[in-house]
Amino acid sequence: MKPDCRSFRIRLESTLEGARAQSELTSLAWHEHLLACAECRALLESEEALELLLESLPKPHLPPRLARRVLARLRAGDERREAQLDRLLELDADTRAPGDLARRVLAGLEAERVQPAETRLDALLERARAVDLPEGLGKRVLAHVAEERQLTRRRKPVLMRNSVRLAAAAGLLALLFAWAVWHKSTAPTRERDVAHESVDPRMLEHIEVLEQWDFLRRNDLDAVLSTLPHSDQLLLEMGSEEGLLGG
Amino acid sequence: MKRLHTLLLLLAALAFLAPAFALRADQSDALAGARARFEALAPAERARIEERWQRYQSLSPDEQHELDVRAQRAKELRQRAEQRLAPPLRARVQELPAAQRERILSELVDNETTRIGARMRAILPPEVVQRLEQARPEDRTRYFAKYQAQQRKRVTNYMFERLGARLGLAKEEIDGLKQLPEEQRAARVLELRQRLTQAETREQGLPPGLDQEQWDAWLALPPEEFFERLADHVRERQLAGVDAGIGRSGARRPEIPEQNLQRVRGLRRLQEATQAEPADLVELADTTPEVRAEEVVARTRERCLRVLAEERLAEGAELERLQHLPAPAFAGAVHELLAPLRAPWKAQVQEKH
Repeated sequence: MKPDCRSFRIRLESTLEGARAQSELTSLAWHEHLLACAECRALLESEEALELLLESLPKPHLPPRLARRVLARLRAGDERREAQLDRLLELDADTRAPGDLARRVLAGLEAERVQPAETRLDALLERARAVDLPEGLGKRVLAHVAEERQLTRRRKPVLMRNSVRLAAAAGLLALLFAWAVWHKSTAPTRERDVAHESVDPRMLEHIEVLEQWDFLRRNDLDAVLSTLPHSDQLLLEMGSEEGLLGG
Repeated sequence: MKRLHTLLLLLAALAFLAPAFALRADQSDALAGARARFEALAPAERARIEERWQRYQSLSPDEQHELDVRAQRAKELRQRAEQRLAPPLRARVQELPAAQRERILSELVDNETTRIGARMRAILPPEVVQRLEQARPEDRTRYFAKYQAQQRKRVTNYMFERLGARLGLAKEEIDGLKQLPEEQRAARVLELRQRLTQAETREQGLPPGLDQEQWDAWLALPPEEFFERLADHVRERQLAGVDAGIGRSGARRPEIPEQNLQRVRGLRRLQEATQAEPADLVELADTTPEVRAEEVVARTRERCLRVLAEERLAEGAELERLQHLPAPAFAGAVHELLAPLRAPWKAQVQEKH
């Protein structure tokens, strides 16, 4: 291919990829290269004919909010999936679903529901055969969605994480349990306290002294000697045995 | 991970709160127990306790502290009195209604007090006993406490030196023993004494008057009980004029004056018989305190008369005279008979040598 031909065809390709209107292709017809190159002139003519043909076809048009309406009917309330589908369809703004998409979706939904999400999405997209979608798009979209979810979870404040909330709830329950045990264990005492407010608790703390009052206030020698600790009694006995006790 | 987190938090909360609840529960239990006891009392008894509480509050802090300390020792005395009961009798006491049990335990303590008093009077030098008896009642406790503290220091220091030297302890170790807190010294001396007695027995054979079985049984006892048994044994032999042959001069006299020994044993039996039998108190638990007291005195007198006859401490006309004596005169006559047992150890040792 001559360099001039290559240059012209790059421009033609660029014009076609930019989806220019057929009028723009016509302007190329005045390109000076065509004056001397019959092959390129024939190519341009065939492209113009194709563009004319394509423009004569009715444009595929997806009714507005189709996805939302379909999903609303099929799964009322599942707004999250609806939004996902909307985002999925918005991946290519120029894509237009064929007119019978809803019918095919409805027909295949029951069978697809039992399939894994990735398979279901691919199958759904497959319904629109008129749309030339890249292979494995469903898988990539789902992977991206999963990644976004992960990022959202990471961005959650510590206090909003489920594990922290569960742990806090458990701690609170433990405190409540402990309080309940304490409350129950002291309930009789508190009830008696109410019933016997006149009893001085300090008096109860010394109840042993008060019960043994007469014995403790005894000052006779037997009482005095008997309150000596047993080991000290034996020590005095040992001292007596050894002749050590003084007067 | 979440579960682990939750579990850790739960455990931390419980660990933080548990000691506080345990402490509060203990205090609460003690107070609840005291309140239950108080509420179980008859109205007159409650009034008496409240009146005592007023008197307690009017005491000085020192006097209150002294009473608290004595109450703790009285509690130990009560436990000892209970422990001295045979298991069936102890079980019977436990089954009594609360008020009745308190009353019987209090009488058992009185009985134990008399027994210990008699033993201690025989140990202390007569001039000390006399001074204690003549002291004003309000001064007696303080006077004895001071005397006891002095003697404890003196006896323990001496015994640490003597026992330490005999056991071959290093000087530093003996000095360390002398630095022990007051309340630990007596127990430590008794422990060393038990060790020394064991060592001497290995070298010189069993103490006179004991067989191997009896000795082995004693060795299995705690130091306090071991010493009490051994001291009784030595005391008995010394009263009979026989050298104990334990840890002293080492002189042993194989010929034991059996008659003397029998008399001392007889007198000791009589001494025991003069004290109310704890079993009598428990058996008579269902009677009124007044009836019980009369019955216990009657049974004690019967027991004394039986021992006097069996041990031939009184015979013929003398025994008959004693049988017809009124209670106070009978008690005085028995008291005179028991005089030899009250002779101090030191006097016995000096007389002997």
